[in-house]
Parts: sequence; structure tokens; C-alpha cells
Amino acid sequence: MTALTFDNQIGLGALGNVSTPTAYVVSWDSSLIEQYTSHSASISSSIDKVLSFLLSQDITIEEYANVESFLTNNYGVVAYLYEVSDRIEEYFGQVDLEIGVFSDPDDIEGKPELYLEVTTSLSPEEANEKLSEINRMWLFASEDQDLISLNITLKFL
Amino acid sequence: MAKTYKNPPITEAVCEFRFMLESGVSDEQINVFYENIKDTFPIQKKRKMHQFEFKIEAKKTEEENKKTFNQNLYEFEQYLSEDEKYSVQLDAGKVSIHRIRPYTSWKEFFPLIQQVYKAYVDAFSPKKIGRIGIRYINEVTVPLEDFSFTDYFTINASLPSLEKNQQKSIFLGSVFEQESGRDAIKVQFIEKQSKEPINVRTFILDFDYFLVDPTVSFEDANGWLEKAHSNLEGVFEGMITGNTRKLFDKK
Repeated sequence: MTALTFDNQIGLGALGNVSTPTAYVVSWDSSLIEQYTSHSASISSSIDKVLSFLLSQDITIEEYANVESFLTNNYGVVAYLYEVSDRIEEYFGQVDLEIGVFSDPDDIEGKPELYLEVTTSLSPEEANEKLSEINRMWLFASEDQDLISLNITLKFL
Repeated sequence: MAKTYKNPPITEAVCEFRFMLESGVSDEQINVFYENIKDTFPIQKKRKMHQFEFKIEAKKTEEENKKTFNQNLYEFEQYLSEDEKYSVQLDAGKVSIHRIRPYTSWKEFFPLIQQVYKAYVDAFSPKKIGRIGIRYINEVTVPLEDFSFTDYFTINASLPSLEKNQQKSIFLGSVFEQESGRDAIKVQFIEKQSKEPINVRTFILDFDYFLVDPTVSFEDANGWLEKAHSNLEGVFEGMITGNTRKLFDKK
């Protein structure tokens, strides 16, 4: 038996509709001989990779530079972003998603927060019930401070 | 001598070591490692990486093999400085030291690399160095008004029949041998695309200088790092013009 393990691997085909540095590099790396394909570990390329993945899932990234900056300073949440599409689909079905950073204008010293906005055609009662469930079963169940820092919000059609 | 700018374009500087170990690492060894770096990196966190795993058996059908695909989160150690601008990532045979913006200087960064390197070798007693890499990722933002590519960059990546300064997008990737093939430098020059109308153009200059032939001894690692940094800096300085340097010297 052969076991193949990939760290945050993104396939060539998955990024076909994305124009980020990662998208170019994944394509280029596939043409290089093995001794030249590896990269020195980098926080910023991990962040570009996950953002490329989100874009390939048709998730809107609002104010890209702000999201990059947030993730650089809150690196722990990066790994969880690979799951957001599947997790949201479990509760809300296939919906439009937007990720961005929110800062309270009345709180000058407040920390920015990362939000994941779900656009839904459900009724407010039903949507809020789903929201409570996903918070309980995913975000808060992990007890991981990095995951808890992700705020899921609702937008009604 | 390492050049310094008032407003360096570096978004991240990294030094990564990959070692060959006799066996896995123990919690005791990790604690010893941390004890030797905690004065500089007092904040300790467990981070996760998303990992995909396929298990393939020749005797199984394609459908049966597809069912063995797993997505897991696995943990690695991260240690940070008080201001969280420096960090160390430890993952068994790999250790990396990172500096995010604002970059200060090689004079400040190098001693921390040496500290982490020594702490790793003392704690884990690796057999051999497998790879060393120094990577500098730069983001150069230039005003769109009156933009001319050749005013800021010396690389020539145009087509003879097309006007050079009418390029709207560029991606250049190249690998060059260094030090008679023992090392290599991977250079990526990429323009960041934006869907929103903006009045600037932003270029990523990503330089990854690394050891290809693992013949560097533990004692020679510091000398390798100094040479690698000097070579990398030479490549970067050769790609930019005086106009670009003026951008980096603005505060």
C-alpha cells in the first residue's frame, strides 16, 4: 500500500478560474523537475494559497488586502478556511458566501474581526436556527480560539 | 554588506531548515528546544495545517481507493516574539523562522536564525541537513499615473513586436543554479491582479534561495546562510532601478 500525504495541496485544475500568485505557481511547479519544486515555508504563501482556494470555490473576498493582513496577524484561522464551503453547505445548502474583515468604527482600539457572510433565502427564524446549530456543532465545539474568532453572519435575500 | 531601506518592500522573510532525523521527535525534545528559544519567542501556540491523504492499494479498484481519501487537520508548534512579528514553526524535521512586515534588517534577523538553528541541533541531534532555504517575499507598489515598466524594473520580459510599457500583466518564474549547482535560486515576478479600479500597480518579487545538494555540514551552515543572503540580495538589487529604491526610502 502506498500512502500519499499533501499539505494544503491544491490541484492544478481547481485554480483554473483564479488569477493569484498561487495559481501561477501551482501551474509552473508542475513543469519543474523534483529538486526545484519545493518552496521554503512561508506564512504569506500559505495565506495566498487558502485565499486562492476560497476564490476557486466562488467565495467573494471583500477588501482582499485587509483579509490578507488579518490572516497574517491571526495565522491560526488559515487551516480552518479550507472547510468553510463544505461546513456551510451542510446547514444552508449551496449559497453565496463572502469573507471579509470588520472593524467597529466606534471602537478605535478594537481588534478587527473576520466574518463569513452567508446569503440565504431561508426565513430569519430558520436561518438563525441553522446559525446557532453551526456555531454549536463546529465553531464552539472545537474550543480552538482561532476557529472561534470566525464570525458567521447572515444576509437575507 | 546588507542594504537597509527606511520602508523596505519585504512582506515576509523566512529561513527554513530541513533535517534528516534518526526517528520521530519526542515531547521532551520539543521542551528542550523551547527552553533554548523562549527568551526571544515567549509565546507558544499550537497551529494546524490542512492535510490531504490518499491510501492506494494496487489490488483495490479505483472506486475503493477513492474512499480512502481523507482530509485531516494536523498540528505543529509555533512560537512567537512578544510583538508577534517574528515566529518559529516547528514540524518534526522542519524548522522555519519568519519575520513579517515591517522587516528590520539582516543584522537583526540573522542572530535569531542562529539561535533557533543551534537550539534545534542541540535538542533533536539530527543526522544531516537536508535543505536550507532563505526566502524573501517583496511587494512593490508603484503609482499607476505615468507608469512605465522600465522605470522601475530592469528585467526584460516583453515581446519585440509589442510595446514594452503597454504590458498589463506579467508572470515570470525562473530557477537559476548558484555556487556551481550546489544551490539554486527560484525567482518569481508576478503582478497582483485587482478587480477593483485602483491607482497603483503591485508586483510580487519572491526570491527563494535554497540548498539543492545536501553537502553542507552543521558547522558550515552559518557561512552558507551569509553567502545565500548576499547572493539573494544581489539578485534583488539587480532587478530594481533608482526609482524603485526611492519608493523604499520614503517613510
